Amino acid sequence: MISAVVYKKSINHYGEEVCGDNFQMGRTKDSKIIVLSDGLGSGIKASILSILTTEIISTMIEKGVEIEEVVNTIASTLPVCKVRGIAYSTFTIAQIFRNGTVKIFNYDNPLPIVLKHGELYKINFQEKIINDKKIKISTFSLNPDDFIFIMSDGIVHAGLGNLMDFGWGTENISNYLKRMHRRTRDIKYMVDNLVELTDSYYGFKPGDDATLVGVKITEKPRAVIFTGPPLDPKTDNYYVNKFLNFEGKKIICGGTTSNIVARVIGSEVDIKVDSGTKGNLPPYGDLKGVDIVTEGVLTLKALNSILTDCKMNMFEVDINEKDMNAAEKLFLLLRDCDEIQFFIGRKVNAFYHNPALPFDMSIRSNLIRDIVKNLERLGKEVKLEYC
Amino acid sequence: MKIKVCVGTTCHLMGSAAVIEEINNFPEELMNKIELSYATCFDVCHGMMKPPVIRINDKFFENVEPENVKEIIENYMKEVPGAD
Repeated sequence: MISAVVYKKSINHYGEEVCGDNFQMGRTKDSKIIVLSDGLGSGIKASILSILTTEIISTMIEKGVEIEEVVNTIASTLPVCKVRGIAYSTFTIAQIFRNGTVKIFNYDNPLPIVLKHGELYKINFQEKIINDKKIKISTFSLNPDDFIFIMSDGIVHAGLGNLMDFGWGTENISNYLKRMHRRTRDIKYMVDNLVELTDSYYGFKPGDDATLVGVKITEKPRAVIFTGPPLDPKTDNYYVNKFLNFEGKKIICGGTTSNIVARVIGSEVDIKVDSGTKGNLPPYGDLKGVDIVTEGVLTLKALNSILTDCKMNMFEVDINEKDMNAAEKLFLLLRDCDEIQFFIGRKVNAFYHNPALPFDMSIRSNLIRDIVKNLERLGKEVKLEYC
Repeated sequence: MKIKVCVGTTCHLMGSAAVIEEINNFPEELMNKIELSYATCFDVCHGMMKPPVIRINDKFFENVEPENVKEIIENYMKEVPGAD
């Protein structure tokens, strides 16, 4: 199953408070839809124009209108500026299907850049004229770890009349991205780096709003978290098998829980001696067939506090991948997922009620409730199963 | 001699990290005899043993602290000749 991690960064026209580019993401049953619109001019007028466009597109898609129909509607209704003869806003739509098919609709924005297996991939576009507007449409397929970069013309024109005659252009940007791809596959790093460079080409006084949306194709967009031993030990086998047969990333949070899974599969948990214990968290480890094994309540509590720090999306928190504790590792695994399933064991650890414990050990289910609330707020689809 | 330190929730809260740090600071001579690893939970703390718990070969020891861990290990080596 294919999905995508999406990260966007914008810089505003110099002196403007708001960005004239707008970005929105939508979802249908079998696909993820990314919309970027660039409003004519800059400032609040451009901002309103671009928000209108993305809002119409994503609302129509969410209501189940076919994407071709949406493009038709937008192209037929988008007004054209009488003075300059260009449309009030331009847009790019990328639709990524679960089977790896990608559809791109582009109207007057710079063409998206695609990296397939680390090489530049030339997209073949078909042109369709709707209401005198030339819409470029393309369908192709991508694999995990391929990239799409969607941008507004502010990125492409950086350096225009300043450092370069015609801006640094799509070709240079493509080559820059390709070189960067050899060093890192971190979408946030790639986008931040390129936007920063764009800003510097403008001499840090951008002559246009510039937005770059990075899309990294991923597999396993689902994760399952098994935390806490089932209430009835007779059901252990049933839940462990259900957990192991889940299609996606498998996470265990809890010592006793990991022992139960290890016992059922006849293996042993290997806690890494050198795993990070920053912030006084217990170390984490591996188990055959499982992506990560961590301690339970303390790690989940730390995870919840990172999630609480994220206001709009999970890219706001910077994590140093060279020195991660269990909670940060979990956070990164979940960041790449769309759907998260919890198996929550209801058996109570008697020792947690011991008054000798120096810490406040809130009940697992309360903690999970907070985590679920945060994950949903950050756009994840969460399912719970109590066992 | 195999030493397993529990890093489960309760053992961690009761100070197993400090015990690990203490073991890692043992003199080299003693360290060479030890094979240190971590365990998720021995499931012995539920009303039976007081955390932090460590296991030396097959024997569990409760209420281990940085102050007494060296003594526990040395006593074990005396009790079980050839354990190292």
